[in-house]
Amino acid sequence: MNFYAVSALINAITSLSLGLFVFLKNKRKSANNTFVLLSLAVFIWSIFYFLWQISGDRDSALLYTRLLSIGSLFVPIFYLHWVLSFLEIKDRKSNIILFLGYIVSFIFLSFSFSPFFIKGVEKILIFDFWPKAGILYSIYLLVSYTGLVGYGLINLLKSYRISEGLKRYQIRYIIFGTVIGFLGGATNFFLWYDIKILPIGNVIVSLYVFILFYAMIKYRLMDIRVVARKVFIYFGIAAFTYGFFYFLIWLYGYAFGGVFSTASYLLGIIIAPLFVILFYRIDEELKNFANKYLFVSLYNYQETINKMIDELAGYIDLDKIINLIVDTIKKTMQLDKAGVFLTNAEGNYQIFKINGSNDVSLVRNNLLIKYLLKTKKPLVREELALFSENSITETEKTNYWKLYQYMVEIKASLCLPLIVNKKLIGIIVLGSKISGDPYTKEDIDLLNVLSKQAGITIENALQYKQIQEFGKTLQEKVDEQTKDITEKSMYLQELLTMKSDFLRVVSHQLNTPLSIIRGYFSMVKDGDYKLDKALPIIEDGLMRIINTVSDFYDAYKLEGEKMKMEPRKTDITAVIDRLVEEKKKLQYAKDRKLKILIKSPEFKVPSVWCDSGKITHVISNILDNAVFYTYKGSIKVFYELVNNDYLKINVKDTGSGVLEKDYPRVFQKFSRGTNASSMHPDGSGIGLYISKKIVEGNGGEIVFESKGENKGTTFSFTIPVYKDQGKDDKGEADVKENKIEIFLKNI
Amino acid sequence: MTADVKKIIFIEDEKALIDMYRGIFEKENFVFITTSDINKALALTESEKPDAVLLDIIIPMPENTVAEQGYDYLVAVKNNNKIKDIPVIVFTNLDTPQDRKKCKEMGAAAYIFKRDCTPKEVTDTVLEVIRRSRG
Repeated sequence: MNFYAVSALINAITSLSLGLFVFLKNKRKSANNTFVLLSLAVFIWSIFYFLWQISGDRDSALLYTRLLSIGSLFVPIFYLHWVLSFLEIKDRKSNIILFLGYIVSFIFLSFSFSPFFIKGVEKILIFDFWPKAGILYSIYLLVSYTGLVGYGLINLLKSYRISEGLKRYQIRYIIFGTVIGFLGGATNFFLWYDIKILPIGNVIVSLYVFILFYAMIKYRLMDIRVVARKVFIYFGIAAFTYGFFYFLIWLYGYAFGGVFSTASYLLGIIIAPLFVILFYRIDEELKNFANKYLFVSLYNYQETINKMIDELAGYIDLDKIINLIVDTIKKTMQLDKAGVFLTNAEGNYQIFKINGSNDVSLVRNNLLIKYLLKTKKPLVREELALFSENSITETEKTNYWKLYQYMVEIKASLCLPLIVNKKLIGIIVLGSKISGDPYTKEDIDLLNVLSKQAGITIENALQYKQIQEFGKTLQEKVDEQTKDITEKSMYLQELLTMKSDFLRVVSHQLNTPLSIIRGYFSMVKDGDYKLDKALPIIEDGLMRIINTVSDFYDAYKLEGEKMKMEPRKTDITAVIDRLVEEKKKLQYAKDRKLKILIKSPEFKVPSVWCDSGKITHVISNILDNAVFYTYKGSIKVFYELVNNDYLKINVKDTGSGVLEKDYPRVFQKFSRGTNASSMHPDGSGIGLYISKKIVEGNGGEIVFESKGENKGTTFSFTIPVYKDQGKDDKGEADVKENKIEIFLKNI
Repeated sequence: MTADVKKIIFIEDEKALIDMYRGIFEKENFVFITTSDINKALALTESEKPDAVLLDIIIPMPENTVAEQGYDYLVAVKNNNKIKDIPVIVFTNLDTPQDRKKCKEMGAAAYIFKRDCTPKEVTDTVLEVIRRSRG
């Protein structure tokens, strides 16, 4: 076996392999089909070349040369056909040339076994049986090998000049492969015409295969990767099926003495479903393995994404849409990352959702944005490196390089523009495939379609969201104002209620003593009643009126502004002693024969720190209540010390008590106990409200305790013990303003 | 006329009070002049030159709206050189520290809280003020 035989065999194997891969890849694309034909023609030529080289006799050598010529005479026309379909050239002229090329090729075919094509074989140089060219062979060289190939080459060069990006690189490699292949092949022709040059270039024909293979990997020419995956799966399945079959035969032979025994048939019933289950499992495992470790492209992910694109149109919710896009792309294409960035108010692109590792939240690269807007096409990082390498001007080179660097920075392998109405509303950023594979041309076509549909859908969703939010803000504003109005109206309602309570109480409070005064007055006037007897009653009435007015005035002051406390050191026992004496003289106390007493304390009652005038008012009020609401029995005042910090003053009566349902209202303004009116009809319902305010204003607290109706009540309040808080008191303070004041300075 | 005869202008709108105090002041040898019209009161103060004026603060306007016309009178008197030395005693049922302060600043001779005072206390105060203003 000589060197030429080996080179032919290499040519045969490589071209067959490549053809097969491309054939399995995609039969629908005409560029792939024609490429398969070309590979087939090269294979036929190479394999018979090999057989011719190893043949030992003249007849078989002649037969093989005629057979190899069948391959070689179709190589030019298939080549041209492939080039035209790859370049997508479909003009009339090219179609006619292609048509004529086929006619000519078939004419040559019909003469291939005649001496017009190959005269015979002769010994020349090292070859024992080299063919001699017939007249038609010369025409073939001129028309097909030069003309058709040349026409293809011219078209490639023309397209190369006007193409951009990936296509440009693909064309470059095809041209390169063409020249290598056909020049290498052409070195065979010299010996046909007795020119004594050996076909040394024949071996480099196989280089065209490697060049194209390289282009397929690097520039996604013909998309070979998916094919390789399929081959792997098919091979795996075939190996399994075959292995299983042989294993069974061995098993049957070993256990039952043959495949055709009864036991074997019966066992088959069990084995058949087992095989099906295993087959399914193996298929899945192979696919998973291939996806994970060999080729990432999922079997039918393109279908999945196409389906998603259709589905997208049905959504209006922005979150849903973006989740769908991100999740589907990442999952089906098996990417390490997928995310969507949307334009914000500042014109940057803010992360909306990202799935996968990420540390970028904002995209604000003007170059990237401009580039996406200009090309409106998916931007592939790896292509940028190539663009940069092959740029003519320095600026272009730097720009491509910067873009590349930026994509590295944001860990993006692919950026898809979302363009609506010439505006870039967002960017879909994709990471790499987990397998490390590059994106195929079909991936990118698909993603291009996706990004267009996604752009429209997202824009719609954004507008919808905007409208929704506008509606929401409007609703919020309305709610807010409604709330405001409601609050105001509630406040007004409260004021009205207060006013009417006030009027009711006031009129009652004032009218009662007035009616008493009037009654006695008229009786005196008519001589029915003695004046000296009536006077104390009239005076009592007057006092009540004065007290009521004072109470309301105090309440008014408390409402209008914080009651100002003027604390000083106070001897509270002196105040209480005096008040108790006063209360004993009250008409009620006398009528009911109430015992009012102060339990002498077991400790020295300390001075306290309070506004003594106001606290006097509190004690007086509590004592009044005790007198008013106790029919019979006693009222006891007693002191307690709380942690030496507070003095607690308790007033315990044996009166009507407080009903449990009245508890919450005890210290409320204008409220009176359920059982209060019958005992003391003239209460204003404001005394305890004021008392509470005063006690709290002095840093103490007021509480009450009652065992229930007619079981008495104890009111207690605390005031801070005097501990050098301020100046010494000169004695009992008279906080009441003088009823008469003379301004000497003004006289 | 003896030195003992004094003249008072009683500016008040409440008939019961006017009648009551007319009797009381006349018993004390006062010439008792009264009005509830602020402008008339001013004219009277100028023409009669009383020894003192008892001034209510809340005096309704002729159309019966509540107004604190007493203050207007006080300001007018104190701004009139001919009568500014006549002591004006405010006699009111208002009892806030603010009102007291206001009266003092406007130049009132005294402040009497109407509700809590007996007629005796009122005449005593008036006499005291007159005594001091003469002295």
